[in-house]
Amino acid sequence: MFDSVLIANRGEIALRVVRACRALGLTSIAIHSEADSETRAVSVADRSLCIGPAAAAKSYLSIGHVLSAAKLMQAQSIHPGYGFLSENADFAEAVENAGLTFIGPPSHVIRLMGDKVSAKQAMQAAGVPCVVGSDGALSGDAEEARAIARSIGYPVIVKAAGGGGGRGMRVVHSAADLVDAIALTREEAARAFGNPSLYIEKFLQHPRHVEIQVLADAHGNAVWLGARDCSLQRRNQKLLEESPAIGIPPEEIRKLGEQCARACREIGYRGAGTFEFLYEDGHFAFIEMNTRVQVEHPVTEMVTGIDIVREQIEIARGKPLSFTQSDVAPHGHAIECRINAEDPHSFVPSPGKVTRWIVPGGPGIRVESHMHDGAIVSPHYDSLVAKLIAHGKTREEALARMRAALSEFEVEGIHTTIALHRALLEEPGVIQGGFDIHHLERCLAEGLSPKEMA
Amino acid sequence: MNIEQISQIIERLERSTVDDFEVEVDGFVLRGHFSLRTLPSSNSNECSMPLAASATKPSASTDTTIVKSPSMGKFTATHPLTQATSSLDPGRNLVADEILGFIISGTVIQPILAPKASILRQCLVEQDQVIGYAQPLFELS
Repeated sequence: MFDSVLIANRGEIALRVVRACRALGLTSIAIHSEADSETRAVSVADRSLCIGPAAAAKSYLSIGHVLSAAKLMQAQSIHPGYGFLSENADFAEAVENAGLTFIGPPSHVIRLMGDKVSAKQAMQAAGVPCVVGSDGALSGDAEEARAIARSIGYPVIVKAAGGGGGRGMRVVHSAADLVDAIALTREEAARAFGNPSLYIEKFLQHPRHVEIQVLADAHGNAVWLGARDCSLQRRNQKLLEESPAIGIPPEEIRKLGEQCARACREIGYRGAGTFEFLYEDGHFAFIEMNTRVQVEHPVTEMVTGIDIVREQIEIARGKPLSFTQSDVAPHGHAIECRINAEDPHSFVPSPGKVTRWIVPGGPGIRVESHMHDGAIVSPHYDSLVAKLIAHGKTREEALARMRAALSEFEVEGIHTTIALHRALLEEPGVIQGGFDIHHLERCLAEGLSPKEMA
Repeated sequence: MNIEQISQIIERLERSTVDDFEVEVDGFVLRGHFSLRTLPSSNSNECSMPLAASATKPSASTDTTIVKSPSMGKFTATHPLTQATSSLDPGRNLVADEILGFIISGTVIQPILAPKASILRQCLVEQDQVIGYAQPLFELS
């Protein structure tokens, strides 16, 4: 059983893992790029090592560099966080082959779920509801593709088997556009993912994005921890997440959660994971599985009281889950706002030095951030600077606490999306809840304006 | 891969601009790093450029040069194969490109070179210390 964890990530998630290690009495080892030498995770970790220059390809995305660092620091396990190498099956396999513990699922399961065609087939076999679509990858025969699309009914969406997270897909509204769309998507998929395989699905026009958080151990136990609604998105990037997903019968969620837990057992899943679904007209349809901890995991932690990162590490240490499904009793409502260092009007990234950083507090408020006065927001990485989470007995109370927290949050030196969140939390559709994934884009098109504080 | 093949590979790569290489033949992997490269020049005996170490000259100090590590690894003043050891006594005069020590990372041994004729003021690391990328190693003046 390992007692040291090398954290192959940066920012708030690196800090989150350091804290989980500390709670478990494990030695945390932060690896970082030259640009991140002064960051919070590096300063609070037990040990640290600079592994390369700012460019992610020569630091956080370099399998060789991460493994070399693990060997030099005599780390026994690697936590990949999210993004970077977290869903790279080759990386997980290299970690396994180096005799270290990968804090996540086995590499062959990451590979299975990373290919969207094989993932969908595995989910269908496990009884998880999927979108109507092609039976496996497209063969390359144009007439066959036309026949599949005709049987599904337009509009359809052409997707890359190696894609995910909103990348590698193209909507097709008529038969006349299908062949060109397939050719273009195939070329892009080969270039971007190294995998030209494509598949076709029915394009759902007004779905919600609902996901199920799971945890599975190496002893055959798998549980689901409720649902999150992540429908407030811009260009497939989530801005606000909440749990539970309102307006969906709890019995439907429970049935789906049990199907996900069963699927975990059938594919030999281990660790934390998320099944992502589209929900439209009372039906769920599987889109993909994220084989890692997600940005929005605190929302689930707030309503269940379960420390997901801690459980994830303990599972990797070979321990059974510390609770059973019957112990999972979600209470209240939680909302998370992703605070990005971006202009709230144009969404242009806003790197720079933070000159003022005052975070909100009070009952039900949690802030996950690596920022502080004097911190530098690097232009080299994603722009997430904080996750602001509000919990309340009801959704209304959570919304009220979030509004108060957003009004207290003071940041200077960089632009952030705080003002946009302030406006969104007063938008009637957001207040009502149950909106689809296009709601934010519609609000912006209709002139929703960020709300600056006086 | 026999010694003749290895010699041929290295000879060819020496004529290229490659700094690091990894060649696999029949499951045998040869990795290497060229720490000294000769820049294209009318006189190839001149303009040799040390690539194994980066050196910075802080603007605040006019005569101090900090030699930083070109990669993560373990520092040693002794070459692991030849056992040749660099003297790291403060005050020692250095010639340009003089080897100050080595960074060992896996199978790669990278020499740390003095970027210019100078005086060794201070060695900032210890024998067998784990070194990060760009970590200051030596102070020269």
